[in-house]
Order: sequence, then C-alpha cells, then structure tokens
Amino acid sequence: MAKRTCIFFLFLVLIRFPFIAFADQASSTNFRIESGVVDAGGEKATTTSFILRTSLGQPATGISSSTSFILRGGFLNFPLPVTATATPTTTPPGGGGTVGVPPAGGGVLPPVGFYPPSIIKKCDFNDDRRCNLIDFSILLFFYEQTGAPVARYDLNSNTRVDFPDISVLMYYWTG
Amino acid sequence: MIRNRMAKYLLPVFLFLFFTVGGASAAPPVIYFAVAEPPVLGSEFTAKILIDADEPLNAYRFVLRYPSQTLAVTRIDNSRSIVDVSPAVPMDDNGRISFSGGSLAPFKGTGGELLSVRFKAERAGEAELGFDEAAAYAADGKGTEVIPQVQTILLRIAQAAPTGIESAPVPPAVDDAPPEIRSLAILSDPFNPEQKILSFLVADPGSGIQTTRARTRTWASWSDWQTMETASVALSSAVWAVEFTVVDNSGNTTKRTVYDWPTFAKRIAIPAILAAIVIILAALVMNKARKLRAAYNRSK
Repeated sequence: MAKRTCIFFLFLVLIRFPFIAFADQASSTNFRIESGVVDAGGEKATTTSFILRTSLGQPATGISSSTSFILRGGFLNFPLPVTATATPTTTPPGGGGTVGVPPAGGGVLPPVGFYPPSIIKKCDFNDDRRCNLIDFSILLFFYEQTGAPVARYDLNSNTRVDFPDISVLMYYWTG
Repeated sequence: MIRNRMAKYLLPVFLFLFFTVGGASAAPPVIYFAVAEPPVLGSEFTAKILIDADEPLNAYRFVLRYPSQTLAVTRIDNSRSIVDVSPAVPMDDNGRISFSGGSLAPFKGTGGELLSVRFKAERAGEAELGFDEAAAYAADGKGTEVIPQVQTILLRIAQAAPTGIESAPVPPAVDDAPPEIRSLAILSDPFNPEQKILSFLVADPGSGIQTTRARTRTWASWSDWQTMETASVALSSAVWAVEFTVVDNSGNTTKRTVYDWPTFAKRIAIPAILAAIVIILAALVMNKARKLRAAYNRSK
C-alpha cells in the first residue's frame, strides 16, 4: 500500500514538474554521456557493512506512455550547476545596483540553485548555455532600442529593451 | 618575367597594406591602478582601478590581487564607477577582489574608473597590486571578448610619515544628497508565472550606497525589513506592495513604495468588496427577518 502511494505520489510530482525528469545527453566540463543507457543492473551484493539486494538499470531512454502513466526514461541532466548567488563581502560596497544574496522570508523568495535549460536558453544570446557577462554585454548593446529587430532581447515582451530586461537577465544569472 | 615584376611591385604594396591597415586597428584596452597618496604604515590610501579603451566597451570583469598580509581592505567603492549594474557585489576574498558589471552607456576613452579600493597598510615594505584575471566586452552586440593589457603596481610602504608631514586621515567629503532610486518595479517573471521579480537600480555618487532594504505586503500587514543586495530578487506572486529604502554611506535615506495593483485587486480589493456585499446583504436579511418577527409578534 505504501509503495503504491509512493509511486502515485512520484507520478504526481513528475506530472506537476515535468522539467525535472527528462532524458537528454548529459555533459559537464569534464564528462559527457552520449547515450543515456546502462544495462539491466546488478544482482544481490554484500560486504561486511551493507547488503545491496537489487539494482535497476536504465535500459532505454525516451518517453513511454500508457493510458495510466508516462515514463520519462533517462538520466537527470543538470548541465548547468549554477551558483547564481554569491556571499556578500564584509567590506561595505559603494554605490550602484549590485547583486548578492537576499535572505529568505516574507514575500521575498530564496534564490534558486539552477534553472532548466529551456529557461536559460531565453537569456542565453550567444548559445553557450549560460546567462552571463557575454549575454549582458549583448543585451546592453540593444539597450533602449525598440521594435521587432530587438524582440529576442526584450525578455519581458514590452516591445522595448530596457532595465526590466536587465533585471530578468540578472535574476537568471548563471555566471 | 612579368610574374617576377608583379611580385616585385606587389610585395611592397602588400606589406604596406598589411602593416598600415593592421596597425590602424584599435589597441587593446588597458586596466591599471592609480594611487594618489604614498602609502605609509598604519594609514589608509586609495587605489583606483582605471581603464583606457580605444573602442566602445560595455562589460568588464577582473580579479584584483593584493598581499593580504601587508594590506587590509577597509572599503570597496563603486559609487563613481562607469559600471552601472553589477551581477555581484565586489567580493573581498583574502587577497582577491572579484568585480564584474556593465555600463548602460558604452565607455570609450581614458581613465574610466571601474572600482576604488581603500586599503590600510599594516606592514612596511613592498606590496604589489595586480590582476589574476581581466576581461572586457566590446559594445558590438556580439559579446566579443577583448583581452585587456593589465598593469601591476609596486607600492613601497614607508615606516612612518616623512618628517614634517602629518599622516592625518583624509576627512570624508560632505554628502547631503540622498541616494537615487533610478529604477524600482515589480515585474512579472516572463519565464516563471509563479513568481515576480523586484527590479531596482540605485546610485549615490556622493558617498556610495551602504544598504538597500525592502519589506513586502501579501495581505494587509508588512513583512519584516530584509536587506536587498540584489538588483533583482524573486518575490512571491502574492506580493502586491513593496516598500523600498536605500541608505548611503553618509546616512542619507531615500524611500519609495511600489504597488502591483492587479494583484491588490485580486487579493485584497475584490475579496473585500465581496465580503462587504455579503455582510451588507446579511445585515439586510437579518434586519428584514427582525422586522418580520416583530410584525409577527405584534400580530400575535
């Protein structure tokens, strides 16, 4: 009964947050998984300190579905381990708009550690899978411009590249 | 024969074009230090990080290196910086200060101040200020990285002030002007409808920003004040008002409140109006019932 409840809950979570379970190539600065498939896994294994009763493999990637479930098979791929925030220095900074870590609580939400690639793509103007100083430089070039030619950089779709667009880029900053 | 003659004339032309056209391209920007006061043991001095650029630039980053055994950072000031917006506060990490940011208007020229760092000389001797990393980006809409030339500076920290010259601390300039809130808005997050983004841009050319704080309203009461060291922070989608205050290093304060009226209407006004209608209707019904009961009692 408990297992069924867990599975049901897992399905609910996956349906509610589909972006956390998608199959894709996995890569980082020091590895790349071209094919997100491993074999059927091992059998029972024991040592003096543990027993591994069974293990599952990842026999296929992709989406399987029936009338009652959808299985999104593959590795969880987090290509951008982002530190979107930084610890403020103890030295009091001077002026200017600056960014640090807001404390959680009240109506202010805590910073998010990473964002799905579909979001990063929107503020990644040079296609390096990051929202960083390069994208900021590109956005600044089109600052205060209007119209269809700069629609790509008008992140909040108010027909103008202005400070709110900078704020959006800053919020999704990956460094 | 003709080919030899062509080569004879074309080669100098090619070399001329190669060197003249190549030589006419913009020189790389230069990032360097400027230290006005000679450092003396126990006293403070300011090192400005400046940039010279032949071509327009709009974003910069660098990591400054200083000997933390000899020098202590007492203040980092970007109040006069050509950088308007920074993704991170200048970080002082035991001998390294990281800074990055961008200019809303591209910078081209000489002596553009990126940052100003106030040091205290804690040991006599030599102290080298340099850069571990530095980069700038051309204002060309392509994010072209330009590798700047960086110059180090070797400081000689004297044991004591030269005879006859007092090493008095420089009195701070009087700053009566309150800090500016150049932009403050509650934005809908275009990528995540379940939250909003508080966007702000503040500046204080006089003494620099000391702190920015905000409190929010999701219902009728205000939340606690929270320090906002970010140019954009996420807000709950239920927030309908933000009171924002900014304080400069001279203690001057500017306060402003922004509202998200559609959220106010949805969360406060419409439910309040509906509740009022329900209360009025209930009162009317009760009043009518009371009258009917009274009439019934009288008829009885």
